[in-house]
Amino acid sequence: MTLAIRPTADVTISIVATAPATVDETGYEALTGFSEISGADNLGELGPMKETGNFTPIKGSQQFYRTIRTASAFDMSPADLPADAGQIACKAAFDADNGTEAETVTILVEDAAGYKTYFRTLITKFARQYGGAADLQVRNISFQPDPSTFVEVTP
Amino acid sequence: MPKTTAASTATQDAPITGAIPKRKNVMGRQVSYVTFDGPEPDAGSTIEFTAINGIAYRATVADSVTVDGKVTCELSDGPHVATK
Repeated sequence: MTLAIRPTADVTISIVATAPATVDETGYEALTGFSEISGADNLGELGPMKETGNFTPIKGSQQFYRTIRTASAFDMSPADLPADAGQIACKAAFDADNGTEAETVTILVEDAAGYKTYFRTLITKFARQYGGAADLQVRNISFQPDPSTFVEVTP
Repeated sequence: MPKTTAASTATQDAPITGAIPKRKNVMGRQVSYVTFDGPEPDAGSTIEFTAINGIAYRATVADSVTVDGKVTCELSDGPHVATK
């Protein structure tokens, strides 16, 4: 049996400042105006998780339980492209005042087969990294997703 | 009752409900579509529809096709949340 594997090559990450009318597939799919963040090099783990607590009784074994829903922050380091619309949108969200609507953006990650992951996120870092003489200048961008906003869409 | 704009080439006779908006990446270009139960609007017309999430949207039709009574419209503008 051949497995329907999907390569990561050609996966795109795009950004739009607007929020969906509803945080579900329909709301996200109705959004327009996404700009690709060009030059992305790595996308890592995207999705919510449950933190765990534990209780250790004097007698018996340790017990684990699930607590709050959260989401791991992730970073990427695309080539530094100051004129790229996606990177400009990231900078705008990073520069927005804390607590304002503009600090949170919608991200779409999509593969060539049309599998998508949507989420809302803060941009917590937007820094140029120079490195040494043999390096490329890259733009380090950090994302802190809202764990309640992840939606996966199948084609 | 949804209304068409002055630029419309066809009148939207009945409310469109239960519509499903979708977006596809076509050769690096994001293209928006909406699918609903007919009738098929003309290219260039502006439609209002209520999606399955209960939100009313407005969009301009670029092209339409009907298959088994289901209309799929490629949109040249929108969808945008319809504001009254």
